[in-house]
Amino acid sequence: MGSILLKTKDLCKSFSNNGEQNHVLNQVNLEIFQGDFTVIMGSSGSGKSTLLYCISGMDTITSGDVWYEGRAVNAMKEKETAMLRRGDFGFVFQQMHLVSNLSLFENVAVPGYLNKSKTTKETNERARELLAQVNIQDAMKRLPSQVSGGEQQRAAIARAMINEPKLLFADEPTGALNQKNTKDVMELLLGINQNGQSILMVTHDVRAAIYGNRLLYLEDGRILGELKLAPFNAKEAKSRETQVNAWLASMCW
Amino acid sequence: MSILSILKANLRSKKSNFISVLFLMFLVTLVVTTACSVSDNCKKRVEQSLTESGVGDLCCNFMESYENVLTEEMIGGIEAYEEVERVHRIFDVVVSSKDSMSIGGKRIKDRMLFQTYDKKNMPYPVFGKNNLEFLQDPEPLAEGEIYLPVSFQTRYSCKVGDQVKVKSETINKTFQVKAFIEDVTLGNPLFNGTKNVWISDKDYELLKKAYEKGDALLSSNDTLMVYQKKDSKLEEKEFKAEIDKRTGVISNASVMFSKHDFAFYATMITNIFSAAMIVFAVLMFSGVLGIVGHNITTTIEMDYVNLGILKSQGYGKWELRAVYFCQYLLAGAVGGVLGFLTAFPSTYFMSGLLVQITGFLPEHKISYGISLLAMLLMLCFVVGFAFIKTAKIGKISPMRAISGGRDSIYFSPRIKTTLGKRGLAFRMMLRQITTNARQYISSLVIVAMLVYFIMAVTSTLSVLNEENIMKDYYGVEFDLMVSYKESLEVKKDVEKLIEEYGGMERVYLCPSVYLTLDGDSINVNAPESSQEFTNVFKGREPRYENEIVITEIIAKKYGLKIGDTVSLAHDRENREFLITGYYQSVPNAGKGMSMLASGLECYEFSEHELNQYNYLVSDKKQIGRLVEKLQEQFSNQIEITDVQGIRESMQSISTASMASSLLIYGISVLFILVAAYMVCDKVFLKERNDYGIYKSQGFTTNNLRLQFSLRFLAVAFAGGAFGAACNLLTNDKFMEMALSSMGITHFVTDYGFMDYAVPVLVLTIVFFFFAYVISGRMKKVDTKSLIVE
Ligand SMILES: Nc1ncnc2c1ncn2[C@@H]1O[C@H](COP(=O)(O)OP(=O)(O)O)[C@@H](O)[C@H]1O
Ligand SMILES: [Mg+2]
Repeated sequence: MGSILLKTKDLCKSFSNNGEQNHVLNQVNLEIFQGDFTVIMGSSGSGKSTLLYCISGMDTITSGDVWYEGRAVNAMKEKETAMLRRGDFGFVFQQMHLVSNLSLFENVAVPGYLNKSKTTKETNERARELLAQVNIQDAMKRLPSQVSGGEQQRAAIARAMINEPKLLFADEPTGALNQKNTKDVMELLLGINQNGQSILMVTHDVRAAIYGNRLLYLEDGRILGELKLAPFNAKEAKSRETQVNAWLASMCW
Repeated sequence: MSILSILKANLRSKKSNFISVLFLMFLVTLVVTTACSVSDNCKKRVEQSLTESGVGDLCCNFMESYENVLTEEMIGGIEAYEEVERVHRIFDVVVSSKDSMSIGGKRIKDRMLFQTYDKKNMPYPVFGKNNLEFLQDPEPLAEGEIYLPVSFQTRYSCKVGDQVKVKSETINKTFQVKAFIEDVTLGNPLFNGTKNVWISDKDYELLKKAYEKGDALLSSNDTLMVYQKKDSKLEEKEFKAEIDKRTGVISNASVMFSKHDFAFYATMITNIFSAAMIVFAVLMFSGVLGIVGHNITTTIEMDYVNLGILKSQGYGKWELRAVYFCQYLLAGAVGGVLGFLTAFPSTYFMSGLLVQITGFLPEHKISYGISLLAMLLMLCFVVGFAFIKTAKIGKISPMRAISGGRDSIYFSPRIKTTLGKRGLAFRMMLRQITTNARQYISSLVIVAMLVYFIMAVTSTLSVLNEENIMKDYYGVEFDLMVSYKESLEVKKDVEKLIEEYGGMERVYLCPSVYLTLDGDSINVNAPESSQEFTNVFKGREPRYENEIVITEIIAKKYGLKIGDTVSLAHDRENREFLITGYYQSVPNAGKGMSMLASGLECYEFSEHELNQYNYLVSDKKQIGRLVEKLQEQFSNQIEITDVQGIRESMQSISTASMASSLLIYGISVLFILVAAYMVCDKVFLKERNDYGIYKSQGFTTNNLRLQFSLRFLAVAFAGGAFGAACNLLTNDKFMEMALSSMGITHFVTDYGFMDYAVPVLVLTIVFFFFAYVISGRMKKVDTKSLIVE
């Protein structure tokens, strides 16, 4: 097990709805370790996305703390969180969210241009490598609207990787994809993880969750359970799915 | 009504849209209604004032040198003519020496025609307090009281109670300003040189006696007013020609103005001003259409899904399109009505403002007919435009809309731009523009039009203040015009003084007289040699004594062209001249001609009129002092007109230009404010999601704001540059069209760098600034908005 990359302490998040408080996260305490492929599971509406955005500094929190490399993310100014997203964190969304008037290549490269330590040439080189890695180098000149959802999501993953983030966040990255594309994207994420990339993924899809090596279960605004697994092996996929389902059943899934 | 509920919902959710269109229509209607009303009111007031004050249909003027020209026989001849109702003769005592009279401590610049306030025959309207109304029944003037034309309030910055001092050889009298008078004849600030003032009968008798006793500092002016019969069917032109034929009164007069001439000059500035405002309003209105179009297009793009859903619920395309018509009709109508209502105070305000500039007080009525018609027309345009722009709604298929299959709002750019680390914000901005160029066209065109217009208006300023104003817009060049009253005895001494103060560069003979063409008095400049014609822009200057150049205004009015002959009369002498070219002349609103001095020899003019010399002084700064010195020493023997006086009479034109350019700047900024708001707002909403994405990738708010507003900077700058370029190419023609009534038919734009840089920069910066302010909402764009349940 690697060192602690990020941890939360008594993290609370509530939304007020017409004066009524909706406590979505209720004193969440968790730790994310270096090199892990962590998966947070939970039913729809349980607060998974909220948790992800709270700990990545994209959303404000109600109380508690989020610590990243000894700094409180929740106390950072807008500019600092922007810097964090620029260098340390990468994001993959369910709806891909590529910029529609940039080509796939440009979508990947543009956040790279923000990186002060690399030249345009180096960034372009890395973008090309990443696109080759996610296997869409042939489509890289096209606009997002001209390629399939799976290709878009792969480009989005390449984009998240451009600045070599320490932690890659993924919110239901397979939520908008069919079965075939789901498998492709998960294998891609697994490959990245095997190269040392720490990943925090949120999903309610068991077939995606099995690729992780540490599963957390979120319900009623708390982490209710944890399941540690060996690194994924394609040959054991079936049995692993059964194991995860059994664990989920024990959590009243 | 189902449409009504959608309409209501739309108005609620797209409030800013509604308010912006409303505001723009408000602005346009306000400008159009005010301009039409003011121009109408001025025209009406001038006619009314001329009638009220009893000004004759023809006013024949006989200056001192024309003494005894007006005979009883002539007057009898006129009275006997059956188309004439009556005549009225006014004898004024004139003070013209600048040393002899001061108003509120300032030396006079004009010849002052002293006359009694004749309540019965010539009851000129007398202003009450604040120039906002007229006295119903002004008390008779007491001894020592004087009425002045209202334009003196600015010309001499004087007020009621100020002292007017007259000091001639035998008279030393102080008057007190009792009130101001609306005089639309000579009181017009455009007229340089001769002004009516009114005193009590007793004071008048005193002056007259002094004059008759031979006071050398006083002279006289005889005016014969001829009144045409009310039921006479003759045109003014025929009436004039017939009277002149019978009696020669017009060709013998020093100058003749008809009532129409006065009305024309009195309304000239307000007419140009209103025309400028209306042209401006039309430009703004086309801007409004551009924005409405852009608005509808983007709204449909953004509402694509909603429209599809409504269609799936059974709404037909006509019902949906009706929602748009109604929305814009409503916004336009409410804005129009508000603008119309605001035109009441604004017209009221303008009339108050105009008193000083025009010398008369227009009423503040609204011209309902034309204003409402204009408003209606504009509403029709808006609705018609909405009709064309909403055609797209018919093509939305519910299926595609609901499945989120909205077409990509971007196009593959034809112009390839590459992105890179250096100047990222700038390159991103270029990309935004090239991938959806269409949505910036309206902004570009609006800025271009505004810049064009501002430049056109300010070009008059730079021209009227130029050194070469005399050369290009007068016809002959001079710094001083000296007319020797009795003889040329003092000429040597005068020139010695000029040489001493400032240095004499050049002198040439150039009488300025009036000749009669078809019963009209026309000012004729007659320099001694061909070289003095400085602005013959078509044909050539006169080389022989029977040749003449005319203005295009005269050419048009009397149907003349180069190569024609024209017959000019004076004192029963008639002579033909060959037209060899066109020139222009501003001081007489373009009614001028110019020939060689030798051409005048066949006519009988007084020494006084013929002995006029134009001087060019080497050191222009000394002119003021030089004039003072000349007046001190030779006030009995010479009459001086310096360029400054002529410049001053043009000052009112500059003032009007200045006022309109300021007004237009102001309205332009307001207009850009709303236009920028609407365009930026729409673009921002459309791209909101992209900004969330950029933020999630580590772009900062400032970086994105810069990227967003930079593109409007670029668009505005491109528009401004385009407008400036168009203006540089076409300004001469445009101004000739706009200013021909002022006598300018050959406009030579002379821009300095600042003249185009300033409007382009001001509007660009304003646009950029508003875009930047609007993009402040970028702060609130959250990466959270990317979360999909
Ligand atoms: N901006 C918001 N305002 C109010 N309530 C919200 C907001 N975002 C999320 N919620 C509520 O928080 C709960 C958790 O949402 P979310 O984190 O999106 O769930 P999940 O991703 O697990 O499906 C839901 O009940 C949702 O209604
Ligand atoms: Mg979610």
